Amino acid sequence: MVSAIVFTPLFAALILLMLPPEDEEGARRLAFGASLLTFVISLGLLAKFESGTADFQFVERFAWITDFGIQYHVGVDGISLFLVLLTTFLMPLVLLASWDDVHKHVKEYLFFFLLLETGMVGTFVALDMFLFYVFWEVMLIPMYFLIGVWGGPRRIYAAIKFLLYTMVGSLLMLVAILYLAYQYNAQHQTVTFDLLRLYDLKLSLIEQKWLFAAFALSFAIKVPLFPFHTWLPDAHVEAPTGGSVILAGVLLKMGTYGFVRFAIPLFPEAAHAAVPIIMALAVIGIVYGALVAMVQPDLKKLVAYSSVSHLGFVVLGLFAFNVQGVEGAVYQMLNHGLSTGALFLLVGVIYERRHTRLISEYGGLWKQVPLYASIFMVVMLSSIGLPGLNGFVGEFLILLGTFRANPLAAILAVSGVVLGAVYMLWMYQRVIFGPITNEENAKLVDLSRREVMIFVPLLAMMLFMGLYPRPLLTRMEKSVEATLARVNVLRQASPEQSRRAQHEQLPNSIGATHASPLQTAPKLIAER
Amino acid sequence: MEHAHATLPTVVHTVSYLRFIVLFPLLGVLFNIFLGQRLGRRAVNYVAPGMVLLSFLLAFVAFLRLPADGILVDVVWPWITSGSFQVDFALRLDPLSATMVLVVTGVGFLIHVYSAGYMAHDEDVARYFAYLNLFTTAMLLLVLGANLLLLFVGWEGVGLCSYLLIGFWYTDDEKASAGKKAFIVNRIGDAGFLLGLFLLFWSLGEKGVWTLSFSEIQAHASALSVNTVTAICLLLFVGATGKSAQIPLYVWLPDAMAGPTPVSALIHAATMVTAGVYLIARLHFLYSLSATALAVVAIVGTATALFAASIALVQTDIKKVLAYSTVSQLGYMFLGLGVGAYSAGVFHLMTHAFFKALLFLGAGSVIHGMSDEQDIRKMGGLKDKMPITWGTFLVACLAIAGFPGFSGFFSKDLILEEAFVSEHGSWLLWLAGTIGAGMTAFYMFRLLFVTFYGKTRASHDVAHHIHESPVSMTCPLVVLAVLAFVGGYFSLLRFLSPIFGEPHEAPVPFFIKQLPTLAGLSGIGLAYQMYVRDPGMAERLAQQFSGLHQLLANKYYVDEIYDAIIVQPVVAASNWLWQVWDTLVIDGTVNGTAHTMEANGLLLRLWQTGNVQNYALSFLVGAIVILGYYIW
Amino acid sequence: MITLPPVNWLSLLPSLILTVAGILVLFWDLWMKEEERPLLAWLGLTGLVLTGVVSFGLLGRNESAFNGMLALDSYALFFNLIFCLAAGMTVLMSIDYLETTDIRPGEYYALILFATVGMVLMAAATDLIVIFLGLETMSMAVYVLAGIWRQRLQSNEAALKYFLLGAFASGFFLYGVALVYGATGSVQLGKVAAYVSEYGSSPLLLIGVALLIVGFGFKVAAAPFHVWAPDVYEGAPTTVTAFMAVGVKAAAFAAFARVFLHTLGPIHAQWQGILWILAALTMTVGNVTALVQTNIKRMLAYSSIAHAGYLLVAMVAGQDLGGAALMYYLVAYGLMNLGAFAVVLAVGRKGEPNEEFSDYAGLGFRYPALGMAMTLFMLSLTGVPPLVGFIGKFYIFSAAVKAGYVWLAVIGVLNSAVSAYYYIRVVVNMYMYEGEKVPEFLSARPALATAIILAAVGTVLMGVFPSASIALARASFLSLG
Repeated sequence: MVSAIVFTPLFAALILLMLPPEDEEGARRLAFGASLLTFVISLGLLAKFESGTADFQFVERFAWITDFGIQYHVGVDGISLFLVLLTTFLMPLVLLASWDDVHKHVKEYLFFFLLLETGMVGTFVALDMFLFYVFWEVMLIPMYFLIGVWGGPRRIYAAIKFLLYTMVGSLLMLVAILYLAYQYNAQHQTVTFDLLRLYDLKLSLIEQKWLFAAFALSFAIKVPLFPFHTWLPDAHVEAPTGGSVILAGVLLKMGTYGFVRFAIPLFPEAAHAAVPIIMALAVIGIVYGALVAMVQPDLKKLVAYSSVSHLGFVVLGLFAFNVQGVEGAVYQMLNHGLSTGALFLLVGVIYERRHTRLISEYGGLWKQVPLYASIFMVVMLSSIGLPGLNGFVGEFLILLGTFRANPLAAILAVSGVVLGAVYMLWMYQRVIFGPITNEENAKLVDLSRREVMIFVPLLAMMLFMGLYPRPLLTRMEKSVEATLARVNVLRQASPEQSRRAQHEQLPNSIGATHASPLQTAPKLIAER
Repeated sequence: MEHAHATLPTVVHTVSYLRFIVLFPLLGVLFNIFLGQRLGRRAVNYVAPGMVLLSFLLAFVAFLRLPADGILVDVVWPWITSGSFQVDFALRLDPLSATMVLVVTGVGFLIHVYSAGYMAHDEDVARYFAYLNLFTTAMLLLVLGANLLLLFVGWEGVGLCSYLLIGFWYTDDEKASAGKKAFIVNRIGDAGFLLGLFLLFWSLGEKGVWTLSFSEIQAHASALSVNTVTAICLLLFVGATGKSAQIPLYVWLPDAMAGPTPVSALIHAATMVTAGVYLIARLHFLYSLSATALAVVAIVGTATALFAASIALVQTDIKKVLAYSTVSQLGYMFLGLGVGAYSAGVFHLMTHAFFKALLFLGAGSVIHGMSDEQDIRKMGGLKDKMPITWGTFLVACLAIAGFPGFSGFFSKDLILEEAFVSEHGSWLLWLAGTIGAGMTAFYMFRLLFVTFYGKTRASHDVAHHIHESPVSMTCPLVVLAVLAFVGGYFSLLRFLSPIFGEPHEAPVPFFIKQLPTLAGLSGIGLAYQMYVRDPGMAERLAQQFSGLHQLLANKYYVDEIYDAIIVQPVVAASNWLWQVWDTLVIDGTVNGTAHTMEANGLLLRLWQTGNVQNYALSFLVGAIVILGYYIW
Repeated sequence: MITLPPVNWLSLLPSLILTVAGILVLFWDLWMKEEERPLLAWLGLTGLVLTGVVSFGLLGRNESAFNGMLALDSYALFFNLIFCLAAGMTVLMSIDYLETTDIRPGEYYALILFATVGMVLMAAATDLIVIFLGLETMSMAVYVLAGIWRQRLQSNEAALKYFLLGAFASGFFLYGVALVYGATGSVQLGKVAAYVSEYGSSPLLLIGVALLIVGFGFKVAAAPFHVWAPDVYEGAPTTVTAFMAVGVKAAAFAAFARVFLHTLGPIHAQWQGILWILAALTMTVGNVTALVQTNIKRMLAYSSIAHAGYLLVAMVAGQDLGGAALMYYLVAYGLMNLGAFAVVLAVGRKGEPNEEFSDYAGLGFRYPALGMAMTLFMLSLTGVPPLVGFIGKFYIFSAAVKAGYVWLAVIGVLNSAVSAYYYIRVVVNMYMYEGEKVPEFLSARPALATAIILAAVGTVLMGVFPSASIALARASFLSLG
């Protein structure tokens, strides 16, 4: 089932190439249908997911590159499940949103979107480091094209910046992955890139630190963590609406997902050692992103910097190393995907009508487009974490967890919550409230039926996740605890002992790998 | 009236109808959003207040069924579960929340009715009532929430509605800005609230208690160290100063008057702004553990009471006077809480809800009659043209001034007595409160006299149109006037005793008891002298003490100071961060790396002379170096 | 009567087929009609395919001939496949290209075949002198090929430069051989290896080794011996450039790796330092200089220098993994590089080579298939998964990390990141600029199209399913024993 989700879009993309170039409508239908189908299949995951276990589910595995012990190994757990769903959920909406938006090279546009979906889903489900890396890089190229071909005036600069920035990080990660595999080879006389086996690797602290640094750099660029964030505003501003939505909605999660799936559990001691630095960067990012967002004249840039701020929260939560922090972080990834995705869609709506994103060009829109303004309001409130909407649950849990781990960081981060309200409300006021000062705005038309169809599911999810987060949180819980057990078991005893202890509990056979640390690491360990 | 430490709370009765108290207004919201525009003004005018009335009736039933020995709890669904953090979406009705619910729905209903008249000419009435219903929902959640987090949901929810309603007439930039200011200042307070909540949760967690529910916090509060409790209480109090407009976060409330007047009455006088008072009353068991926290509450409350009253003395906008009066009265409530007289604070909260709502609605009626004029200098002589408004306004003024027999007399005097006799009190607090009482009486009657007495100062056109308001508006005025009069006789002290413990009377010296009343009466007298008998006197005084007058009229320049020391620097810093740090430094480094690479490329290209002799030379040098490597 | 010594003819079979094909081409050219000349290409191609098939069939054999001067082992046969690929693709690409030039097909195809013979000899040689023979056979042919477009001044210049510097390098190489002989008493690799593993290194031997490095360094275009490459690559006819960039490099590496990884393997510690520096320098110089190029052919020249750097990383890593990585990478590099050159040819027209970056503006959307192929090649050269170039780099850096050269791997990947910039610039031009200069119509040329499709399919398939080819490369390298 997982593979079906990964490859349905790719398959559709290949079919797309065979369509005659002038059949734009057909191409749109095909792409939309494929993404919808993918979403439906992924709902099957949700339905059959068992929440009582931290094991990976729906696992598929077979040999791929035998000489290197590389396998095609995919599966989902409580953390990746929802990220996959987020991806498959956003994709049809994005395609729907660009229905009337893109008229140039439609077929290629859709092709790259579908390719991107394969890359994204693949990244979330890959359990083999090599496979992960492949998907990770595969994701880059379509996004690069989407920005570079269908973007704004400075699109080429933005696209290349995006590509090179991410590439530098990920290539260093490649070396680190190789190092891991060969270290495993040295210890176990067999090469493997299997993540679950690499978890057992024994590494000295100094090795861990180097490797963690390589992974962390790659992920920090993707997140983006301050000060690696400058590609983001450029990429967002230049990207077409759909590109921005996916970039903010899904791609940025790759970094935080990488932390929680790879960097932290693979190098727990180094992760602990890095906490002060990463937390500091996260907090700086939160405040910095918010402050800089406040003074942006361009709507998309504002949202882009707000992402820097929001993702700072996610990283903060991850490095709190307690259940609340990490669950909050995972939850917040989904929230950010929904609310920032929706914000970009909203910006896209008026951009399509007015062809400008300058805040100063707008004002008084409520009068003209009340439906738009109301939806914008809800999305904005979701973004600033109003209780009752999704953003609050994540932000709250993150701050709760962070407060436990480092009260000072929580205090500073809370100021980000205040600033979040400042820049969002100010922007909203300047765009939506006030008198209509620009004649152009008096001619705006409100949302079309198609556009409403895009926002309804988003708003519904925002409400649902704000009011009833339990179904999500319970499904995440075991996986988060298992991840934390990896990290926190070590904190209890001296590193050497605990390594050994952990190792004895983990049989080398892969199937049973996951149950054991859970039993040995009861919930309270994560709490304490 | 020290509270005995009662063994609380008693029995939990699980019911499943409390949720409907919250649900009715929510249905109203949905109705207004989805059908309001389509079904038209009439439907909205019935449904929106009707839903609040249903809530009120249900709440009243619940109130009657409230058992003497316990509380009602309605667990709707498990809300957030994350590790040991588990919070239910649960509602709780006890005497304290029952009081609040009745005030919120009762006064709320009246104001909804009043709004139907007040907004009769506004085309966006469905949106207005959607907000107002939403506010009621959130406020009910706030007071009914069985745990601190759910309270916070309502807390932020009312903040949102306040924002929406202040900026209701969004085309006016100033109004929109006022709404934004309210939200942001509240958020600053909320940040403190959140931190307090975190500290509370983890501190209890360390004792093995993972909870945010009020009952359980109360049961285990004594396990916490005093310093922790102080920190928790102070952080939560930061939240309270934001929501209840206390120093230093009061600045949003006067600006909030930009909203429609019924909104000012409901949200910015009667209900929402008292949320901070409710919070502290709700958590009184924590505050009781920390003398420091109580002292801070009392001092901030008193300071705010005096400070705001002094500003109110010279304001000329009818709603601004009332706004500063609200800030001041809230200060009194905190004074009451701060000296440990929780029920006195809540008592004043209730009476204040009646008379302040009445004052605002009266002001609204005046503004309505004066064709949207708010400057009292352009009013005068309204007594005869708007008799009902005048009469009810007078009742409210007497109540707030603490005229014997009126509701304010009972509640305010109780607070001041407690300020003197309580173990947490002091004669200084009492004295300040008493002076404030005199000022309150003065500025209220100044307002009354200038507005309703003398000759009209309005332009001919406006004067011609002055008329009494429609029944939908005067009716609530009359009901509230009755409440403002008799409110003092509802014996809240005994009703609230299951929460705060039995009141036990301490002897209060005679003059301590009577002086505040005397101060109030002198205030009225002075106002009468200055504005009725000798109308020029105020002007002369203002010229004589022009410096002081300017300072007060400009509200101590606090807004300007905040702007200069906080807002401007932050904006400047943000611009700097963006344009210098982000663009020049970080991006400069990134692009610089690229350019350096390119420069290196250009440099290396020079190697490529195209001249074969040079190539051979380079070749030779390479060979020599390699050979050298081996030879040395 | 002189009796022939016993000869293992089988070991000569690949070079014999090629030689015969070359001679046939020369002779047939003499009496065929002008318009039939293109048929020569098909004759040459047949020879190359036959050689490839034979080599493939012989894989797994391990024999020695001419008293240990030539070997018939999987190692050599694997390289034969690369040479046949390079030469075969070159021929395919040349069929239409030659029509746009003044080059006479007869000697052109014959020279390609003879050069390939030299390459085959180099890969099979187990004797330093035979390596030299192969080297010269190949080089002579390629010198001529570089200058075969006589009417073009640049072509002449390229040939002359190549020849002069090549002679210079041959001198170094030969002197190196002499010193190795002096130090070990033999030029046979087997005996040199025996000596080295018994006695280790000596100063004399090391100086010989150093000179060999210089000689090989020239042929593979490693910095600082790379300076000739851009000029020659740019000046030579495009097809010849492609042939040189892939075939000559592969042949040089075949001998280089056999001598160093296998024969001199025991004194790996004595030469890895030099190669480490050469590798780092070559990658960096190649990539950084490529950044500022505006001509695609020249960019590809620098790119081929950079790739020589990656290949040197494999040499430094040594061991089985390094050797196999080297071989695999050469295949990968051959596919994507030849593909790229084929696209360059497809875009060019008579008298209008269209080799500037700006000539590619708008190409991608006007010629989707061509654009897509070029995009694939560029991404593969950058090392983007799941294309063959990525697997190749992955293999090489694996070897480096495994052998402990983590920093060299880091330099390598950072270089890859730099290279992304200039490869991607081609893509940028193709898709992100509106083109004015793109030719309205590119004639459908089946041979060239076949070459492009072959390369593209190979680039994708070998990237997605690399297992078989990796295993083959590994087994072939292990045949060295």
